[in-house]
Amino acid sequence: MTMLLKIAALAAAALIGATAPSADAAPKAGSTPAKVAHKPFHRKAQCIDCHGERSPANPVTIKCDSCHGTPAEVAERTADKYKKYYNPHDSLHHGTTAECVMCHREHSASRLDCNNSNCHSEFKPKVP
Amino acid sequence: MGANDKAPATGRRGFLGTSLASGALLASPLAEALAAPPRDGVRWDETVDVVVVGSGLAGLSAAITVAEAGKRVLVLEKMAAFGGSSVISGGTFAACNTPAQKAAGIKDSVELMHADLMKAGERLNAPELVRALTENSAAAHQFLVDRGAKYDKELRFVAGHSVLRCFQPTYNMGLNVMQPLLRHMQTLSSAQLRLRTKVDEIVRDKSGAVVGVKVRAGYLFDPELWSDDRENRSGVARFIRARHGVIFATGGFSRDREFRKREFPQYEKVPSTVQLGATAGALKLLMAGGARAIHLAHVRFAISIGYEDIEKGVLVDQRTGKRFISEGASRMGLSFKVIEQVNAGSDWPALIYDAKGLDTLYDRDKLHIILNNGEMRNFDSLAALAQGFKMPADALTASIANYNAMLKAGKDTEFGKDFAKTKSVPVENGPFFACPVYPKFNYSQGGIAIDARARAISGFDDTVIPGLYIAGEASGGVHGAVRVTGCSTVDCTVFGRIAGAEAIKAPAA
Repeated sequence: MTMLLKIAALAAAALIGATAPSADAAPKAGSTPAKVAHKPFHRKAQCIDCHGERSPANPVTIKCDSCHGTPAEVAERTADKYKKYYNPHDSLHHGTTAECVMCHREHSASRLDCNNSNCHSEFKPKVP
Repeated sequence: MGANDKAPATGRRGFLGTSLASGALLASPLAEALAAPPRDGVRWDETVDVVVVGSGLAGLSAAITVAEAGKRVLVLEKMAAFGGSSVISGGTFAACNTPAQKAAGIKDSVELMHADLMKAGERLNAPELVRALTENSAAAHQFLVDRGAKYDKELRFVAGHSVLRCFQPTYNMGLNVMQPLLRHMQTLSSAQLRLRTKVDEIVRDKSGAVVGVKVRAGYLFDPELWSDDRENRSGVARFIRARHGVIFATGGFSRDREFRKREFPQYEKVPSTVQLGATAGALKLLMAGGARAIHLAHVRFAISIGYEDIEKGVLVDQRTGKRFISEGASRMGLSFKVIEQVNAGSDWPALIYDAKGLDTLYDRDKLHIILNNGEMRNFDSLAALAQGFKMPADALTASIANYNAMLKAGKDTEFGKDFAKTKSVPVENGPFFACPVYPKFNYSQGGIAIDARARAISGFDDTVIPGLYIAGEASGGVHGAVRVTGCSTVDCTVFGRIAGAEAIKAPAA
């Protein structure tokens, strides 16, 4: 399945509420996703979907690529969006090596540090 | 640097010697930290030959050197992307006795480059470190080029160098030096890069040798914290054994507000443009682990516009609309004066040119950046400029008229700027251009003391700490008072390679 199809499938599943994980993947009380802020588009996600653990207190793994593809694939897919300026997914600095979480944060506000200290103040994409 | 000179070649005198475990030494917190029991009971989660901490130019140079020799190397990076400050650096690279110089008919020597660095460093530099840097500079540049780095063909003249000896990466150091290096490293099967892995401690055995690190996997750096190193609790603890030692290529601390405030409270308002993760965490853990720090209060400022272009324009205080210094002052002298003005309640001063003057600027790259990001603004009239910068318009107009008159007469009776030498230009016809001038933390000359073999020096007795190597900005003593432009990249590459070679040469712990 291509990444886009996967995303479409996930979105469709989210709409009809069909992404309920199997019972054994249900998070333990006290660490349910309800207690952790989620972005609207990930509201059905369970810990294990992204972290590979049922109820991680301090997750090491953050899996984005199983749904969204590798950063290189994301760069390719988003190329059209960044015709006027550099694509942050394939930057002149980090290439495609940056982990998604550098900018895209699920449980807190996403960030864009390219403009820290006015380095790239002309660069203002919204980070989902 | 007598201490470095005297560092014995095989200093395996463990600072943890049992004789130190009691007595007067324990009176100080340092001695207590030094006397912490060795962690012989550590259960290692994994074992490699060499651990490299940091994935900037020094880290990759070290890791590639280790991996090309067939040894297993693990590069740990606390940030979520590789490259540290190296991937956002301009990347100017100084080297002497290069084929490019020969082709251009430039006469250079190790002695000449050595003298340039010592002069800028106000002779605080450790001469043997400057010697290692200059002697290996040409080979270091070739090392990068052979692994895919691309530099412009033309050598570039750079302030602080008495001859033409600087290479400029083609377009951007991230794209044309760091990314090719990383790709090269990834072709080596014995090298691995691991992001979001923060080193918290070095692990020393009974003999005092560094044999591994305690890390946190899955670390998520938080730039919002006042001190990420102290406050961030993310990640899961792991122990990684390094049979041939640990190389710290952890950069400087220009972004560490807390550490900076302690070392130099007078610079609190000075921003920084180095990478966000450039904190003092590694420096502090190394000091706590027994290494000696040197030259910590010596920092380098970059300026928001090409330094060599300031002297051509008119610099005025935003409160008064008046000049306050010769625009031809030295980099640090000008920075200090500007900081003094700001600490006294002013905003960053405005540097003014007219359109004709702007055309004469030398550093077009920096000009392009500040035109793009809106720092360099244009105005139809001086009155509009005064309003834009919230300056008294009458005072500004008078200052400019007076400056133009002095320039015409050929003598700066206010601040003694040498108009001819600085190629100063009048400010006559609109549109007028102005930008704030402010220094930015750009480099920490200080760091952990090393010998010419990149081996860390003990803070306790100045012996070498076996198994611990420092390369690049994380080390101190190479540059002294101020680093010369183009000499960080060469430092990183030279000492990164030395550290890698020394680590695998030493017997495995």
